[in-house]
Amino acid sequence: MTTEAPWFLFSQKIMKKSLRYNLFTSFLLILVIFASSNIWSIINFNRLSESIDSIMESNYRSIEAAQYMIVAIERQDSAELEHMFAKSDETVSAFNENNKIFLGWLSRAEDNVTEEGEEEILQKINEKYTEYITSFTRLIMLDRNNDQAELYDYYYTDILPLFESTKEACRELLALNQNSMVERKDSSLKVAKQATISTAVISFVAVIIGLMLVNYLSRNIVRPLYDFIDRTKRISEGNYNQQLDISGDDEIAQLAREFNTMADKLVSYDEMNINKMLEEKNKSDAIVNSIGDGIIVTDVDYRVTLINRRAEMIFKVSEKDTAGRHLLEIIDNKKLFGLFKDVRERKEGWKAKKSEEIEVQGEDGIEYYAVNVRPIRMPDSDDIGAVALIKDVTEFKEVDAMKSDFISTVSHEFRTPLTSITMGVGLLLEEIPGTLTDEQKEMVEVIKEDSERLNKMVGELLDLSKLESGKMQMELQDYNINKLAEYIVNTFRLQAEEIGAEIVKDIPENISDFRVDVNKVTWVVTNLVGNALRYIPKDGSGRIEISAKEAYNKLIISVKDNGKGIKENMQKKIFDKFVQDGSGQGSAGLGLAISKEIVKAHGGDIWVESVPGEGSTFIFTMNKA
Amino acid sequence: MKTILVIDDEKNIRRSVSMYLSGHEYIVIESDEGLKGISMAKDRKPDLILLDLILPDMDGYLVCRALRENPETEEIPIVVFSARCRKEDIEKARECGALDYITKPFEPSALLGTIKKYI
Repeated sequence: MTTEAPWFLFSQKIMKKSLRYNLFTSFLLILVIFASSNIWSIINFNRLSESIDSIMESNYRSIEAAQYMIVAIERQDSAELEHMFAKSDETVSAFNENNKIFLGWLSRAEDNVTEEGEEEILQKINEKYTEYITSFTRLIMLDRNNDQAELYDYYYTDILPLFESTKEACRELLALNQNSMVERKDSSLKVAKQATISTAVISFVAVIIGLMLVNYLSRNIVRPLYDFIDRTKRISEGNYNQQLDISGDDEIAQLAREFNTMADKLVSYDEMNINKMLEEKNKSDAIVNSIGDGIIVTDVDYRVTLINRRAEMIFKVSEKDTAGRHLLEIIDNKKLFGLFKDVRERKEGWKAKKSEEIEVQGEDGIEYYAVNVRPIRMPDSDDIGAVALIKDVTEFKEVDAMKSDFISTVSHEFRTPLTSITMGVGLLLEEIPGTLTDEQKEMVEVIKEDSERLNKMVGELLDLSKLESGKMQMELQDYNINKLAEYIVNTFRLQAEEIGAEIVKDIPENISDFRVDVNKVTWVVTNLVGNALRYIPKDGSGRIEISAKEAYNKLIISVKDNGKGIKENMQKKIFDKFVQDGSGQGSAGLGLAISKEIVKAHGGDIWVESVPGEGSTFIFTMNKA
Repeated sequence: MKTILVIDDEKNIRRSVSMYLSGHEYIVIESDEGLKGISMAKDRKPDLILLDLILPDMDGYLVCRALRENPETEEIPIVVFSARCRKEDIEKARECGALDYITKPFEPSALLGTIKKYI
């Protein structure tokens, strides 16, 4: 509190309700109790000392006076007797001196009348003593007459009784005061006892009240704090919905009220955050659902965690049935599941596959989809699942099929007239209809050559359309490249010798087998060597080399020539359909396109490395057995 | 002189083949339809039949089977010549009873060689 006021300036409101007020009043109460207990003790001490004082003052002095008076009167009596036997002034003066003492003590006793009956006794002493003094005066007068007998007589008959009665009166005084002193002592003891008991009782009561107050205070201040600790702990655990019971209007209650407000705000902030997150989630859901391609997300156990609207349509499922269920349970497509599995298990080659095609029975026949599955990676942790993008390629498939059909049909259609042409040429060349002149023969040779070219082209076109449509069957077997290369070398040896070129193979004898369709790979190598033969120098320096080496799980096969090379901008295009190097020589340019398709069908790659003017090297890879 | 029956709907093929084979001392008879071809085979009992697979009235395979099932023609060797070149076509032709299969287009000498294998 910054504006601390002195306690006596507390406003009425705070005084009534505050914890401080409670503490203050409680401690004040304890103070009052202890103060009153102390005051009570002081009063009792006072009473005790007063009663002692009263003994001192009222009785002790009277007793002392009575005793001295007895002594004085006895001395007077002795002086009297002495005087009777031996008159002298000494005796008289002794008498008078003790008379003075007696009167002195008497007057002290008279000043200190405290007891009942004391007055009367003193009066009696006074009277008797006065008579006694008078009698002594008469004795002295009798003495002058010198009548000893009379003197004795007088003494025994008059003076002695007076002396005795005076002394008796003094003794009475003594006794009275002595008795009273005993009484007072008794009453003092009583007072002390009472004081002891009452002080003990009051102290006990004070302690009990004090304990009650301390208990009350600790209960009212400390107990709510435990509740605070408990609730605060829960809030720190993220459970914001905590409210404290508010009773009273003290500081604790105020604190509780503020605490409740804080907790309320935390709850609303929390809700706000959740709402924001929900909004973001809805947004991303909407985006995912609006994507035109199918998306399926699974966790690491292949349970579907997300499937967008397009994917639902493709596989004819609804998200309600899919959430959290196994992919195979929802979509009975083993190939699709296999793709997820490959990614999950990191099967070799999953990375190389851009996409795989799957077939789905649609309403209007089979639909084709290209599926691309990728792992979902989190920074600093393992995969959390996989996501598949499913693209409809039915249309492309149909176009492709149409293209293949078209090529196939066209090729077939070409073949029939080609047959007639070939037959006709054969007829002419065999001179069945009649002999030909040399010029005529040459013309027919030209027709024959080109019809053969046309025939080859048609054949290649058909092969290509088959390869592209995947209709070409692969007959894979384990085979050794040495054997294949030897066959090629032998096939082309004569042709090479004709132009003075050299054709060699450079392959290690112990090279591993590869797993291929032998006819198709032979076709590829034949095509590459055939091409090379066309471009190498015809002056006897031509050289073609077939080589192969192993690399990991692949075989790398290359056909190298020292021809004129291929320009860089052509190096990629050269594998496209109907591309020629521009020299005008050679085939329809389908050979490399077919080679590429064959290599691809084997899961390999093909490319060319070339330096114009120095030669080209065609390289392709095949899987090892 | 041996007789060869050519069953093909393409007039130019029939003509060129007929001319060529005539030049090699064969008698060539022609049919442009399957049914007609079958009846010609029955009537004329050729020594060999050259059969195309695509005919206007019926499938070449059917013609092949019909010729094989008829006792009058079952002994006549049949060589299929077709633009179809798939393996299954060839196998199917053999199943139907054809002895050989020549893919169009073919070299005249190849045709002659094949014929000579059977007659």
